[in-house]
Amino acid sequence: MGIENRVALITGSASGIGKKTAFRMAQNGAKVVINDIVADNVEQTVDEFKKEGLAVIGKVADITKKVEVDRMMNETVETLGSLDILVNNAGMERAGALRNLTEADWDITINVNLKGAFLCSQAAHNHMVSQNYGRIINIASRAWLGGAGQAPYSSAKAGVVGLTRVLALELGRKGVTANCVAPGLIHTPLWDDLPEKNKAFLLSKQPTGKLGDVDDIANAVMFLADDQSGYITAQVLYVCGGRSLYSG
Amino acid sequence: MEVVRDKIALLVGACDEVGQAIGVRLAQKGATVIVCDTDYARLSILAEQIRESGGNAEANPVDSTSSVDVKRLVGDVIKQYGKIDILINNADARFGKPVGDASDEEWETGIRTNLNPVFFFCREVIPKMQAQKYGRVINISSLDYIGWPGRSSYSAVKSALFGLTRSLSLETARDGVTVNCVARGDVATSEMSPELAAKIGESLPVKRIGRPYDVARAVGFFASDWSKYVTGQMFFVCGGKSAHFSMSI
Ligand SMILES: NC(=O)c1ccc[n+]([C@@H]2O[C@H](COP(=O)([O-])OP(=O)(O)OC[C@H]3O[C@@H](n4cnc5c(N)ncnc54)[C@H](O)[C@@H]3O)[C@@H](O)[C@H]2O)c1
Repeated sequence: MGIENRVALITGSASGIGKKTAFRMAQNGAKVVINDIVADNVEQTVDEFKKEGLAVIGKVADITKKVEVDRMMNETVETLGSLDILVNNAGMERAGALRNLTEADWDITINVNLKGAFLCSQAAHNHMVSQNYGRIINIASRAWLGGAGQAPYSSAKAGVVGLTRVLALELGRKGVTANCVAPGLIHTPLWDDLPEKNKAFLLSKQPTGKLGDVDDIANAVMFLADDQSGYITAQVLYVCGGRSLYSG
Repeated sequence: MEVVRDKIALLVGACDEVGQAIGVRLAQKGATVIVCDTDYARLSILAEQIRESGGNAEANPVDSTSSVDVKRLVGDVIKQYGKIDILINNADARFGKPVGDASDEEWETGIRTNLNPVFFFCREVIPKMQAQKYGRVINISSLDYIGWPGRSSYSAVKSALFGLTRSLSLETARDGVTVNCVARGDVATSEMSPELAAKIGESLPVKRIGRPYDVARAVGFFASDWSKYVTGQMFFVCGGKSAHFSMSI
């Protein structure tokens, strides 16, 4: 029941939302794979988790590179025996007005958020289909609905929603579900660095008047990753304090 | 996992199989469940079942189409327990006819039995939740809201739940109250023949029909502390069927 003894790989999990999600999944009995592009952070995260007595291994890989992704998935299955849960969490944003955005801004944002989710899902689904079981959870964003200054990011996250629906339709018959969690404003270190003026502006558009925390996202991911969530697929679960309804 | 320990839950429309599964699930996770419906005999059996499986439950019959009786019931619960933390509106009477054949009375019955109760309960319970700065409201809708031939009035009522949910969620967002909709897709009940259940299952992306428990688990998430930053949402438990439609995201 739950996620106990399941092998869960969370991309970009040496920081922020991914790290907390990985931690909570490990606490709940999953065997967790920490992935990130920043090797030092992977090592440090694995050490931290091990000190807490949690089952964890680390895999450094750039999810925008097919060879690195394929190697990571194969090594995971070799070491831990299977791959049951994939959380496509690694992401980043280059924001700016249309006229200021560069081709490089577009490419990197699309590559990390969208191509990375595609490559990881493609590599993971082979293992999931062969065992007739899998849970894919893609971290999209409330911002997929569109936001001024967010052309590459909104486009990438909208792509993630479309990808999720395709995965659900293609893999449903093989016991694999695919869903999105769409976070709104979440309290991560990035937030603390914002000027007070920006914080006040963002909060004024928030129906709850509050930020969410990383645990709110971890909870949603664990709900969807559960053994017993097999009848839930192709969905977008917004964890955004009502921001998807209203932008003031 | 998600818990609802020491919470008082009011479950309206408890007697159908989805309602029963929700009651059992919430009680298992630690809530005291007040099960409401029209049929006292069936309610008592359900409450007894929940208690036998180690949970707390009480049967309280109500005519949910009467605002007077809804007010009476909510008053009773507050008097006895001092609060209501979770409200689940599950009353669901399925009906439908080609539009030319539907009488005034059938249209009005649809609204009276499927929509008015949700409004009456929300009106009585939500201000109390706002005052205590905590509440979870879950309205059970149906994927049929999306439009179905011969089901226009049912779809209209189920769509209305979505607008109600969104408006109420914005109204209560700063008060620690969340309001969400769980829309059920195809769910097998004991009345359905196994052949029909299998046929429907085959038509769905996950290749199986849902069970009442699938819906109950999702309700459990929205009723718990795990979902405190989730409000105003329509969440489908439908084996992926919603991916065939455009309105479902
Ligand atoms: N924080 C928020 O408010 C918020 C809101 C909406 C959506 N999200 C989404 O949630 C996810 C996590 O965000 P976060 O705030 O925790 O970010 P974060 O920056 O703290 O963590 C993202 C991690 O991804 C890693 N990463 C980046 N490129 C990579 C690559 N090519 N290969 C492997 N790893 C890579 C980074 O090194 C970093 O450790 C992202 O997808 C983000 O878009 C966040």
